[in-house]
Amino acid sequence: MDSLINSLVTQVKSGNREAFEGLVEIYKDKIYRLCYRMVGDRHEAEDLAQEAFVRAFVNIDKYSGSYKFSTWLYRIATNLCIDRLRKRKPDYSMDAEIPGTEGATLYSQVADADPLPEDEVEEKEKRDQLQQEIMKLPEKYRTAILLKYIEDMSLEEISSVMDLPVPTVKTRIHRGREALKKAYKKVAKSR
Amino acid sequence: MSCVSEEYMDLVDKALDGEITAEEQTELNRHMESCESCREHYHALKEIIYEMKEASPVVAPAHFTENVMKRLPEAKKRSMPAQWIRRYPVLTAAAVFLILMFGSVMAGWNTENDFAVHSAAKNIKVNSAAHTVTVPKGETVKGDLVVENGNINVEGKVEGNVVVIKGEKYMASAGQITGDSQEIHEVVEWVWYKLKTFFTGQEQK
Ligand SMILES: [Zn+2]
Repeated sequence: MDSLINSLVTQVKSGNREAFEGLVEIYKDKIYRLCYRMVGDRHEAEDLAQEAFVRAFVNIDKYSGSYKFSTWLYRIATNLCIDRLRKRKPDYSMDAEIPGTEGATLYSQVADADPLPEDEVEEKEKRDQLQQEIMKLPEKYRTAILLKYIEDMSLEEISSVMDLPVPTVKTRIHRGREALKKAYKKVAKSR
Repeated sequence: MSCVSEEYMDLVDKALDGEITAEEQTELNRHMESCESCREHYHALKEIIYEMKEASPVVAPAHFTENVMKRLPEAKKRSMPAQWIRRYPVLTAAAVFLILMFGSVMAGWNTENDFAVHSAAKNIKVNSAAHTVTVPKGETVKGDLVVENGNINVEGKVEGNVVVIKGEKYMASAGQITGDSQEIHEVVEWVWYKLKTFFTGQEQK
């Protein structure tokens, strides 16, 4: 796999657009998923994920190959998402409630797609709830948590995506999951 | 939280990070048997991690790749040289370098007319007035020997290369050169020699 990626990257560097199409195909789900979990909105996630790929294409000469291509791609995507979240801030604080309407349309859309049996619906609600709690995390915890548990990255990889030392990444993951636990517990008790 | 022991909190984190030792795990398990708050804490975190890992799969929307490709900037219309430079940066750098070098070395060919000898050996005879260097009979000169604007008589042995720039090399019947020997008369040879010594760093000054 790595040698395929490297060969595609080399071809893109020498001006082959079709090779880039191959790279997009390989990484589109991962990058889209990350963006979606970061911003919690499908349209925005699509726009951000596309923009991440466009930037990767334009700046391909800056990718040196000293770390994995996916690490570089994740870095571009997380930075774009964080920028977007910061621009949103004047509208509402990240610590405040996520507007209910947005969450509702988002999750009802997902639910409408294919009707699920009852116990799966319950399971799904739990997960959607968790996504909403992830959305409420400050972005620095959120990024670390997502890369660790959704993208299943090692601490070292996360450290090079986020450009932070490993111990800092670790602390953020611990604090992030701690915060999630507290929020999740509240939800569970209110039921 | 009724349990205030920081130590067990750390052990829970270690367990969740997969960094706990067998002994620590035993210790943590023993503690959790009697401590409800630690047990609750551990299982709640574990459940959250499990939920995140099992989170419903999200895939990129239809036509994603197509739309990315549409958004890519047009291939920049580069002029031929620019494209060439982009594709062969090392070659281009080398060509530019050669042109510059050629100019400065050419200037050197025309202005450097002083007799000069470059050698680490002490057993050569240098006659500055006659612009002649002699490797005496029976002597062995170790290392390379470069003579500029002068001649060389090799009567003994040179263990190394001999280069004569704008001069002649005379070999006696007993004379011997173990390395390469070269006379440079033409400006092209001179440039080539200078480039070669520049890259290999062979010239001794
Ligand atoms: Zn305890």
